Amino acid sequence: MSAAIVFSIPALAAIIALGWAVDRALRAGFASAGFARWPLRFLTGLAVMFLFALHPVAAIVALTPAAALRWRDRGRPVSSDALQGPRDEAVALGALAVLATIAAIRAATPLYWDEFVWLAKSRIEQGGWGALRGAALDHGAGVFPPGYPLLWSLAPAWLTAPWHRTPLAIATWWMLVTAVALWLWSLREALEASAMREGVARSSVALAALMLGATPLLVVHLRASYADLPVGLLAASIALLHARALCAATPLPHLLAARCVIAVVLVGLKDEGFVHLAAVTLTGLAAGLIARRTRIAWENLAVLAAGAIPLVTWRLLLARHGVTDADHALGACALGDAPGLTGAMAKHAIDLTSWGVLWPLALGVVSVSVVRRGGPPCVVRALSTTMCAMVATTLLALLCGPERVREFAFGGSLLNRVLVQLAPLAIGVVVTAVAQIPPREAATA
Amino acid sequence: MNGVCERPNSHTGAHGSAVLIAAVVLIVGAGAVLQARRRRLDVRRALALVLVLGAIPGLHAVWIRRPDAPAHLPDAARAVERFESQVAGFAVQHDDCVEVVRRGCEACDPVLWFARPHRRLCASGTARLVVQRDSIGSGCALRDATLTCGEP
Repeated sequence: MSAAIVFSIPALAAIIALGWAVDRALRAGFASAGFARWPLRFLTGLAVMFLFALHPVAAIVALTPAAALRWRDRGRPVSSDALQGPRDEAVALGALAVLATIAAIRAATPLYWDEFVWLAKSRIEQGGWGALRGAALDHGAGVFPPGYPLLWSLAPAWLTAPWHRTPLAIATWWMLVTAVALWLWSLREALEASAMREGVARSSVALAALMLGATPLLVVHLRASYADLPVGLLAASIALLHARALCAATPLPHLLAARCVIAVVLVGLKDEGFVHLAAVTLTGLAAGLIARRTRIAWENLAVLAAGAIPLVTWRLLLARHGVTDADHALGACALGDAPGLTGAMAKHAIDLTSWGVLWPLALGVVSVSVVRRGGPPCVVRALSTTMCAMVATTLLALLCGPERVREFAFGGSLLNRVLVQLAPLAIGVVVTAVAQIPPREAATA
Repeated sequence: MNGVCERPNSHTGAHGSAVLIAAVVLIVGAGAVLQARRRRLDVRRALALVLVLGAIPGLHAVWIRRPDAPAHLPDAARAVERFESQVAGFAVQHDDCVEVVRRGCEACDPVLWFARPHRRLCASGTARLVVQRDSIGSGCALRDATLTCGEP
């Protein structure tokens, strides 16, 4: 396993170099992101490659506004390093190392159903640049399931060395570790906006890592090549960075660039990615308008637009080639199923063996935090609202999707996978809410 | 992946599992009592404790009992790799023009997609791949132009 990880480093370094060049050229300011600067540059390189793989026009549409902004701001300093000051990142890096180690205890070969499906498509892309895109848009090629977003299958092919038979599952480990790193960093940023003591922020990051690494079903997903946990981690990262931007006293430009890059990757991974992105950004837009902060509203629109580029491009390509993504086509909403679906979701969430006490705990902590005297602090309020919006849009998507989706929800694994996607933000809400409680000595003084 | 189900592995006895769970609960519980007696238990620690205690049954399944637990992982991976390489080798031998006959191995479907990502539709293929019950565990046997996997 470790040898295989080493063999994937040259390809990883090449993608990071591409991301670094784009960061420098467009002055994204990722140098201000502490330990997350490298994961962000990796995602940037991946996002640019992905957009070019879809269609060069998509890449041009995405990069042109960024270049225009860079031209407009050419006289200004690149980033806000001075505003943030030095930080102790040891706990976050330690947590990342532990979670990455847990994730590395996996088989080099796929073992679970969807792993075979995702990685079978990666094998097609290993035939050459653009091979999977071509096959996915060709009825006769028999790519299964038809019409699904491609990035979770493309990335392993791009990350494996052509001169070594590196297992594809290893490449998805890199993707997962990147998503975990960005989630921990975003959480740290959101905690920063609460202006709490350094020690509280550190222990809160450790608590979040514990919640991720000690929840049984999340551990299973950590050790698998499924896309659900990365989707959840990236969606939560966007929500946490939005909370940071909303509640911080000073604007931090690199957070917007980070959110745009994450949005492109999130939508490229799974169709659910855009559902979560819409929930997060539209909630952020509403929060900006209510607080009369047009900058926040515009930022959220920009992030939504960034995510819409791969979605619209891919849907147009599918339509042009007569391929339909039947599993995720929206139709008439079966609102009569809403109570049953909500109940089934709750039943899944309280399954002790799969979830431990994560969901009851999250619900309890958030309820206490929201109803407390004086209302919840800015970050907790922003995250709780976003969480509610994500749950509501997910349920709506299930209700308005094809009948097959609801059958899969009631009788299959879909609801647990949806909960895996929602869990990283739930952990973020719990941790930021608990961080607001003063320490024992301060409370009794 | 549908959830962390308790599907016991034949290598681990139920008696041993119960003892292990009881021991872990006892140790963590004793730690909690000690902490509370010293009045040093703050909200974050209490939360972490409740979380870990609640997760013990599931974590025990994930790390020890399930067939994908680290101790059983090599066996599971070996069986899948063997089946996949037999199918892929057979397909390559016949220019990927293979008629697949499915006889009750639903779990084999995704492995077949993985083994043959480029599935061609053949007008006149002579090679047959027969996939039966427990194909992944039992492996395959080649006879003439037919690869028979699993047990009837």
